[in-house]
Amino acid sequence: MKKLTLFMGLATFGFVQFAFATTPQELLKSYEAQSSKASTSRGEQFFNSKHGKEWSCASCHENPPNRDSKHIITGKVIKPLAPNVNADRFVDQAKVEKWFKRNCNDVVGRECTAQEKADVLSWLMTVK
Amino acid sequence: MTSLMFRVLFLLLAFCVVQASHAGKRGVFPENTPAIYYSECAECHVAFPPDLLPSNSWKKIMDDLHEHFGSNAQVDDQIRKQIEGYLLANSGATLGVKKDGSDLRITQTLWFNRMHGKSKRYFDNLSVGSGSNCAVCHSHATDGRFDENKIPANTDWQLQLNPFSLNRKPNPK
Repeated sequence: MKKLTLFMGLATFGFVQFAFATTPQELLKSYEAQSSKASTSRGEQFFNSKHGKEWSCASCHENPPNRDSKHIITGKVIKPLAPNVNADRFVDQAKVEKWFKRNCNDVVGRECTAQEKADVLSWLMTVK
Repeated sequence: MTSLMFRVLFLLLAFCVVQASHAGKRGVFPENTPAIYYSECAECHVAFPPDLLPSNSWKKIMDDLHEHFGSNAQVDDQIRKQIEGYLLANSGATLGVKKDGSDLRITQTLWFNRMHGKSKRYFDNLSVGSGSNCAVCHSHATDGRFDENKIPANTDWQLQLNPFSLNRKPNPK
């Protein structure tokens, strides 16, 4: 019985992992499907500009976001955002959505559109 | 030795023991700290031990997550309730922290400022950022340990500001 419970637990865990696991390429595809073809230059500009508020994405993630950076207020270390440098980025869909939601709110004052997400992600994927 | 001297010595010893036993108690994470506390509350800043603020302060902080020190840090209501339950159950901080909940920043409490009298001058340094960036100096802060006797020496930020350092570099400003 214990073995069965353990097996079921592992199976559920595996499923949950599977349900949220993704790749930057897959995410980009799904954002493009909800909007139109991504533009890396638009993404780069979006990432490095302010949008009527105090911060840009680069305020905390730096430009290019391929190294450890620091949170602009607390100083806490933020791991690199570029998926080529940090394999933990853009592989968990729930996490990606959570942080787009929070950070777009801080930077743009609203949630980002699928087009904006596609643009930014496509640029981040080119950062080495 | 006179009995008076013994009494004085005994009192001094007792005082030291009491001090020592209290010293390490504040700022420790309880064993039941849920993983979600770290994943939700330790991305932008280090996880703060719940006993550093009284329950009234945590309640206000959790009620106002949409305006969390200048940032919208709202989480799903179920997660919010779980974290709030953990914080309230493990809240603390009586001495040097206002019980009425008017202390919302740990760095503004009387207790914190007494403890960091000499360190405060480093807080605005670029590589430290702020007083809430505990882990810069307290290398075990993420495990809830703030009890080191010696803060790491010769890090960049110290060299830039410490006038007694032989290797002093000019401040970039």
